Amino acid sequence: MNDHKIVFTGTMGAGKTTAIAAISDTPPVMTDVPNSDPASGKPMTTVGLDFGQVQLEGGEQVRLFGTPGQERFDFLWRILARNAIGVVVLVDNSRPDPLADMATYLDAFRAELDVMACVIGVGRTEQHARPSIDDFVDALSARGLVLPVLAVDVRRRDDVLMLLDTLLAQIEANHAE
Amino acid sequence: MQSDAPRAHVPPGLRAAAQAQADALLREVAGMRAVLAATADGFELAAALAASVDTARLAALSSSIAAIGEVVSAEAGMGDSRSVIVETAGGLVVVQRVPRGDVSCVLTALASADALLGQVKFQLAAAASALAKA
Repeated sequence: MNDHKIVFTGTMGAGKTTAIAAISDTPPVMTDVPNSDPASGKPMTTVGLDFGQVQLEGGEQVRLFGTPGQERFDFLWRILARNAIGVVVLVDNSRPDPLADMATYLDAFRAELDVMACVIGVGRTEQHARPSIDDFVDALSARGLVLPVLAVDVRRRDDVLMLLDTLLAQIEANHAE
Repeated sequence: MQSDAPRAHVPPGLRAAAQAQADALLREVAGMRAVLAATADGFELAAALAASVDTARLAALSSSIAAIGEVVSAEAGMGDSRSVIVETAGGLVVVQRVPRGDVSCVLTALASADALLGQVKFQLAAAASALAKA
C-alpha cells in the first residue's frame, strides 16, 4: 500500500480547503464560489471538491480530497469517500456546538467508518478551549468509537501532516491485527 | 418549496427575473420537464416544473456540477466553462452558467428523451445571457 486516498470533511469554515492547500505538493484543485448563505460570513465556499497530492517522508503518495461542508452537499460526501482508506473530520471549536458538528459527520460516514480509518482534528482551540479534547474523546466513547482527537491549526503544514501520520498509523495498526 | 428552506442573499429582482426565464423555457421548449435557477453555491432561486423534482437538492447538485465543469475546463486549459451536459437514459440534463458580475448563478434544464439537445442548449444559453444582464 503506497498510494492512499484520504478525505477531509467537516463543517463549512472548519478549514478543509486550507488544510489541503497547506500540504499539497501540487497547486490544489479548488471549487470555491462566492458564499450567499445568510447564516455565514464566510466569503467563499467549496461546492464541488478540493483535490491535492502529497508525498510523505516514507515515500507514500497520498491523494487528498476535500468535501463541501454543508449538508445540502451530502451526495458528494459519499461519492468522494469511495475507495478512501481514511477520513479526517475537521471540527471548528468556535461554532455553537462542536460536538454535534462532529456527530453529523460521524453519522454521515457511519457505514464507511466500519472499513475506513478516522481522525478528528479540532481547530480554533486556542481561543475556544471548550469543549476540551477529552470532551470529544468522551463523546466518541459514548458512540463506541475509539479515535484519535488532535488540536490542530490547519494553516500549519506540520499540523496537517500530523493528522495524516495519525491516520496512516491507525491503518497500519489495523493491518497488523 | 418548503417555507423553511434557507434563502440566499441575492440582489432584489433576481428571483423574479430567474422565475420569468424558467417559466418561458418550460413553456416554449419542446420536451422540457423542469427548469431551475440556483446560486453558484447551491441555493434555489426559482423553478418551473412539469415533473416532480426535489428542487433544493437539484440546486446543490447543479452548483457542484457547474463548479466541477469549471475546474475540468481550467485544468485542460480550455477557458471558461459554459455548460455541462449529462445525457441519460431518460433524456438530458444541462447545467448552464449564468455569468453575472454580482451573484454567479446556474440555470439547469431537465428535458425528456424526445427533446432536441441543440434546441435545449440554444434556448438555455439565451435565457442565461438574458439573466446575466437582468
